[in-house]
Order: sequence, then C-alpha cells, then structure tokens
Amino acid sequence: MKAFPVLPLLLLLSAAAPRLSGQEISLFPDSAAAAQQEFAIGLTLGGGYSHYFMPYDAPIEIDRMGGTVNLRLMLYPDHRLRMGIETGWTHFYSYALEDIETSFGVTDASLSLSAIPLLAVFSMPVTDHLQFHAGTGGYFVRSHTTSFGSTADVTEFSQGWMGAVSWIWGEWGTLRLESELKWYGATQFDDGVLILQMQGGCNILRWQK
Amino acid sequence: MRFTILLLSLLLLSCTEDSTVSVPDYDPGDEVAGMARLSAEIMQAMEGIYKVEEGNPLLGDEIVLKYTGGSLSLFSGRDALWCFFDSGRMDSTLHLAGYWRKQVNEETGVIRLTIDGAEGGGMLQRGERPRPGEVLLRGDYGSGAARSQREVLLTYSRPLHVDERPFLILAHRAGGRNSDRLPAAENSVELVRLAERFGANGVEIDVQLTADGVPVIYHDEYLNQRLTQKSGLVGKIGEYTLAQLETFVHLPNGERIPTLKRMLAVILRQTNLRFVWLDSKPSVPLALLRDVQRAYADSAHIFGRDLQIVIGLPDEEKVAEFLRLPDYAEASALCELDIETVRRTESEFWAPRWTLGTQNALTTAMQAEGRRVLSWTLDEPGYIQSFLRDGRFDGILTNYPALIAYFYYSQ
Repeated sequence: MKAFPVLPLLLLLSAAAPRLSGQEISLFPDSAAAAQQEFAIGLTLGGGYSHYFMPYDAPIEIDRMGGTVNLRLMLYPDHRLRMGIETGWTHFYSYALEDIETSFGVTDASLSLSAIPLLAVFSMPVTDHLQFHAGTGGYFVRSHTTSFGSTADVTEFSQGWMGAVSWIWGEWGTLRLESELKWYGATQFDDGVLILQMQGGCNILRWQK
Repeated sequence: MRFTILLLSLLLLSCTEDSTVSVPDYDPGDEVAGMARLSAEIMQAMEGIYKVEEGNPLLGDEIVLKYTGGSLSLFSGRDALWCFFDSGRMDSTLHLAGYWRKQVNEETGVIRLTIDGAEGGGMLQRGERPRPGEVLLRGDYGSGAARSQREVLLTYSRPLHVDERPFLILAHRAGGRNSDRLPAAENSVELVRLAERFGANGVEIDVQLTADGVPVIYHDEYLNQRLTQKSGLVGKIGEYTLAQLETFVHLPNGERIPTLKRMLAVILRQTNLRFVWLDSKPSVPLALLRDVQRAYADSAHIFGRDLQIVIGLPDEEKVAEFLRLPDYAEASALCELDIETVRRTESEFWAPRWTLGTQNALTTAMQAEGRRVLSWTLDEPGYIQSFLRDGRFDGILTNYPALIAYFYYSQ
C-alpha cells in the first residue's frame, strides 16, 4: 500500500463542506448553527469487530477476524473541522501452522499480529447524524510468535492512516451513542483492517469565548 | 451513502500492488523432450556474435550467443534482452527453445530456433568453430502468450571478444533486484543458480546477522514486503533467530532466507561462478565472515574450483574492524573507499562507485600494485559502453549482467 490517501480524503471532506445542511448538533459546538464561539473537548470510546481486508499471498490460512477498542480525544472548535488524536488496539490477523520442517527440526507455530494506532484525526459532520473522519500518523505493529516452544514479541512502528464514517444514533445529556465504520491502514507491511464498532461519546470540557 | 461508497472505493483501490514475476508460463524443456542433449562442446562451438537478419524489432542488429551456466543464453543490447534456452538434437538439426525477457520492462515471450545440418548444424556437431556466414539460426518468436508471431534469422558473424585477463561480470544481489521482476527472488539460492545464465561470472551478496549469530543473505536491515512474502513478522531481521526465520519467513519465490554457508555451498558445488563479493552489513562481525571465507576458500581449493570470496569494506567502521583482524593481510578484501585505504587494508580489490567515472590514472596505479579494480553498480547502457571502451576496469557490478555480457563480448 504505497499510496497514502489521506490527502484525497481531506479533499473530499473539503468538497463536501459547502453542502452541509447547517443543522445543529446539540452536544458539541457547531459553527454552522450560529456564531457561538463555543469550544469543547470530547472523548469517544469504542469497541467492536475488525476484519483484516488486505490480500495475504502466502499459501496459508489466516484468521482475519478479531476485536478492536479505541479512544479518540477531539477538540471541537467554533468551526466544523475538528481535530484530535486517536489510539487503542486492534487485531490484524493470526494463524497457526503445524509440522513446519526447518533445519532445526519440525515444529508447530503460531503468530498473532496486532497494532496500537497513534493518529492525528480530523473530523467533520456532514449532517446531524453523519460524520467523516480522516487521520494520519502511525501504528505500533506487534508481532507475537510461538515456535519451538518459545515466544518472540517484536514491535515496529509503521506509518499509517485511517478513514472513518460514523453515525450518531442519539444523545442523552452529555453522552451520545454512535456506530462507526473505519479503516485502519499500516503502510509498511500493507496491513489494513475494516472495523465496525459501537462507541460512546461524552463532552468532558466545554467553554465559551 | 454514495459519498461513503466513493470514499471506501478510493481507499481500497489505492492499495493494489502487483508483484507478479514476469516470465512466460512456458517450459522450454517440453519442446526438446525426447531429443538428444547437446554436449558442452557443441554449445561452445555455437558461441559467437550473430547478425540479426530477421527479428530486429526484438533483437536489434546483433546478438551474443554464449554457453554459460550449462546452457545457451542469448544477450541483446536492445532493452537489456536475454533469452534462456534448452537445447536438443534431432538427426542433424539442432534445436533451441526458450523464452526471452526485456529487463528494462516486463515484455516477455517464447523464442524457438533451429540450425539445419546443411546450414552449420553438421559442423557444429563435429565441434568445429564456424567462420562468418557458415551458421544460420532460423526460427520465430512471440510476445506474451502468443507464439510464432515473427520470424527470426541469425547469421554467425564472429567469435566472442575475450581479454587475456578474465573480465568479471558481477551480478548484484546474486542476479538482480526484485524490482527487476526476475524469475527468482534477489539474494536467493534459486537466483544464484541462474546468475551464470544472465551472463555473470561472479555475484555480490548481502550478509546480515540473525539474533543467534548466524550470517544470512538478506539486503535490508528490516523484514519487509519488498524482500519477503507477507509473514506477520515485523522489525529487524536481527531480532529473530534463524529457527524463527525458517519457520515464518519466505522470500517472494517461496524460498527461505538462505544462510551464508548454504549460499556459498551452492555457489561452490552447483555453479562455475568464480567470484563472490560479501557485502558485509553493519550487524555482521568481520571475524565471523573471515572464518567463513577461510573455510570456503579451503573447500574451493579441495574441489579444484577457481573461486575467490572477498570481504567487502564499504565504510570506515568496517575498515577499522577489518584492521583489527589478526590475519587481515591474508584475507581477500574489496575496499570501496579511496586508494590510500585500499593500500592501508592491503585489499586485493578497489571498487569505486561508478559515478566517480573511469579514473584511469588511479585504476592503472592500483593495477600496477597487483590489485584489481571493479566499478559498481552500473546499469546504464551508455555508461556501460563508455566504461568498457574507455575504462581499464577488471570488472563491473550490475543489476543487468546480460547487458554487460552483450557489450563486453560484442566489442
């Protein structure tokens, strides 16, 4: 995955901006509603299902399904382009091998690949319920292997990006409930997972200029 | 929703990358199955420069036919084209079947040639060297999956150019880079077995160290998809033991990362390569390389092989480490730095980067001291011709050994 499509994503977000409905979202400030000059910091905690979506050309069966959890901290300024950071943990893939012949003898082996994202995220609402998110940064990709009865854990940083679309189901006081469809892409080894998750958001700090 | 679909499509379509190895799905052995095999003497008699009478769009005006690596290869100066042939004899007719590949792009196809008994086949079978015009190769070639699209006619023109002192055509990374889409992965055993068929008579290989101290052949410091199939292993190659690498990691051609000892054993016993340049990466202790060098030099002597294994000295750190070896003066070394460092390390070879030019005065000075001079890594056809014509090098390291072979033998 040599291409790094954060820029096209941001361009698409920009292209979408003039079409915004301007409907107010009550939980967080929104400059489209009025010149409120309100600011907030919001926290979103999510978790769900991940599916490894990239080709795996080696002739082995990999388990592409796994779990994911993530945390997003966003600054909501008095305009619609929000920014923040995201981290968490996600499963990429895993596999188990039997009777692998090596020059050291025969062994069973297993591998699990996961990642901790560390991303700068930009978000923009396009309707009352729909938001787009794009992020750039990287992933601490962790490889955990077992072979010949011993384990090895190696972590390597990979550049990467994310793109997501989320849907707000409802708001209750300072809380809200969302679903999110998200892509995490780590470029160094062409790793990418599609994530479907539920997440809860809350406004942890709000102030007015 | 349309916007979302557009976004996801953009994300997914931006991620495709083709890594197909570019040679035809064709076994030339099938074409000559059942025929009598050609002897080495016959194939050596076929060697030479041939004028291209028909087939110029593919082959250019002249080609080199060379017996190398136990078979015949054809080299052209046009688009760095090479052909590998299988050969056989039926009655008095000699048959060559193979595939061609342009190394500057991914064009490839099948080529078939015959020499009729009355058009030189008879004299070649008697091992006689032809005179100009005495041998005609007729046949055809096709592009991609197509066969027999155009006719080929080659006429023997003259013998191969040979210098009194053997010229070293050194194949980078055992034959070329993965980006050249060769039939095997770079720095692999399979590729080193093919190196001579590309026209090389020596190779450069890259040595890294595993976590348990085993020298292996791998170019980069990190495991990556340029050099390996996706495995799930991340990080530096030196963070894994050889057992872990053998269990999980495969090169793009499916082979495991070879150890230095296995690579040298294959070079020694399964090829006639006469030169190995060990490019020592920072993690590899030179004392370890020196032990391996000594052991395989002894084996080459026992097997009666003309094989020289040299330790590369690419920077000042490696030079300092080399000078700390108790027997560095006896170790065969290749220094990439200035000539004073070459003298200080008592290196047998000086290898200046090709961008420094021919440097004839310095080259002559080094040769007068009994050293040999190699240029690296030269791939550009214009400079290859210029270096061969105007330079005084004893050899050239290249990703395109077929191109060097063409320009060298057709001088």
